[in-house]
Amino acid sequence: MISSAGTRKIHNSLNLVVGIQIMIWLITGCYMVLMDINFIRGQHLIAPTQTAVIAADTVKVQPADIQSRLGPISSFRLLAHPSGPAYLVNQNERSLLISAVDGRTLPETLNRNQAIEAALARFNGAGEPITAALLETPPDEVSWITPPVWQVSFTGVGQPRLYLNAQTGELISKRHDYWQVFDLFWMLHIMDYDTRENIHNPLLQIAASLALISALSGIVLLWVSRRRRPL
Amino acid sequence: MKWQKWHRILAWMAGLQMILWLITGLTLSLLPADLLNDSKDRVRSSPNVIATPLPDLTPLLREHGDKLLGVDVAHHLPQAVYQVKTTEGNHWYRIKPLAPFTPTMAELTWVAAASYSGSAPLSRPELITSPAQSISSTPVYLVTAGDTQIYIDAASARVIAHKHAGSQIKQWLLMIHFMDYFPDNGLGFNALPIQIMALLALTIGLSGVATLISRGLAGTLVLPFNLAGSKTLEVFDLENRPLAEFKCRGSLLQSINHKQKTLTTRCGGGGSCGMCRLRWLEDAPEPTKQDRFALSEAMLAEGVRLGCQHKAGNMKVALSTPAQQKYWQRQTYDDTHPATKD
Ligand code: FES
Repeated sequence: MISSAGTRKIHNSLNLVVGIQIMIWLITGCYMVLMDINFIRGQHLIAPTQTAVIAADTVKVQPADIQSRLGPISSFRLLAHPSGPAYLVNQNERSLLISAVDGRTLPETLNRNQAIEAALARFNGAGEPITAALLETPPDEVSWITPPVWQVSFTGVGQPRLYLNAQTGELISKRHDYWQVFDLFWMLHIMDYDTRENIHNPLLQIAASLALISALSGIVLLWVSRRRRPL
Repeated sequence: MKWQKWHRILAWMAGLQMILWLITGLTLSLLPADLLNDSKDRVRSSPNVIATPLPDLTPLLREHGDKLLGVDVAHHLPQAVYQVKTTEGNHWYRIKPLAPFTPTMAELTWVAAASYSGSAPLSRPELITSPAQSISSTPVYLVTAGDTQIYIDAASARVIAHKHAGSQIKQWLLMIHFMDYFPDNGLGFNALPIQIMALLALTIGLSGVATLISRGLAGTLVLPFNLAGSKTLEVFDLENRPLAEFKCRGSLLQSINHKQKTLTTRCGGGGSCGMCRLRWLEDAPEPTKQDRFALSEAMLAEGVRLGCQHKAGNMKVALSTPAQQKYWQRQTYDDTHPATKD
């Protein structure tokens, strides 16, 4: 059986080895549980209901008109576009935007003013737009978005950023600086410094195993130290 | 040494939860990714060419006119359907003929089969009017195939989720990890219990770091690899007769017990049991907080201190209780105590 002195040696030595990671778990864990996840996801930045309603009487072009004009299509959607209702049609991996008002093909990307207008229509925060950039390479925080994408940044807490579909102006994602901290902390918490999503990595397993032994030895020490017994 | 005291008090309060975090986190990490993956046997449909001529939207525009957000053609069924998005929610319509959509049993079975890559036979869809909030807030159909449960939205006939035994294990582990024991509307990690516990745990960590640093600076940190110094510790019995000499390494307790445990201890050098008390024969050091807490004023005045709380050096100390002496004799009886054989 391991003596109490041996247990203390194990507890102290393991903490010297994994102490930094344990502190990282505790600090990152605190941040993640204390920050409201809805705030981190930027729900507060977006109006609860979408307001860009399609004026039904302006829709003059019907789906059958598009089908007869273009032939076989793989997806079809009527949406509210900054320049009026429009159909987004997919044909042979290509997206086409066609006005539902007069049938003309609309430009492949919104202009800056339209992007800002579309962002303002969804934005629920108190800030003002400060920059709008059409990005060909999305930043790491939205690396999954297929470019091009409009990024509209606002003044305000955490510098809110809305990402909009460059063709339709539809909201794709919203980010702010607290999200970035959360993302960084999540990476440190699961110790996956590459993809930031694999919790089954050996580094985490080794560190957690050592930390568990350290915590269990700590409990043993708590127990043996629980009461003073005079000689 | 107040840090160590706080470290202990806080560990009593949150130690068990810290162990639960480590066990559940480690288990989640060690279990095969495939076991925990809800979608391991799920097939996602990709859009195919719209073969049907799409009907006129006018009746839908008229019906939802001032609330209309968009109209989509959805492909998840054998026949495409219209999804009308309004400010009040989604509405579904068959395309041929244009009419409100209610899925048939055959369509639900088709959707379930199309989303499932396994080989088990599918059960008949069963309507669940009030499913768990974590699945959906609206009615769903449940189709089972082997241990897989396929949940389908009752209004749109879209597959919401696949669940299986692994999903349940994951749910339990996350429930314990997040301290969300009543996850009615989905698991969350922002509840008050976990916030309090996380702050307590952080304080345990900080007090532990402070303890390590302060004991390291004091030269009394208990480690397996304390190197022997050049100084010599001389130990005497109750009557001040020489017992042994030791090379110094860390505290007096560590130096004496390095090769063989001859000085009694129950806490292993934590400063809490008081069993390692020794009497300094000359130049007793300043008492530490632990000394003052464990020893009476009279003892302190006699030069008695805790052997685990002071760094060993060129010094002479004596055992301070008959029990210690008896223990020492028992441990070294018929034995060649290493004494100065370092
Ligand atoms: S060993 Fe327990 S108080 Fe010193």
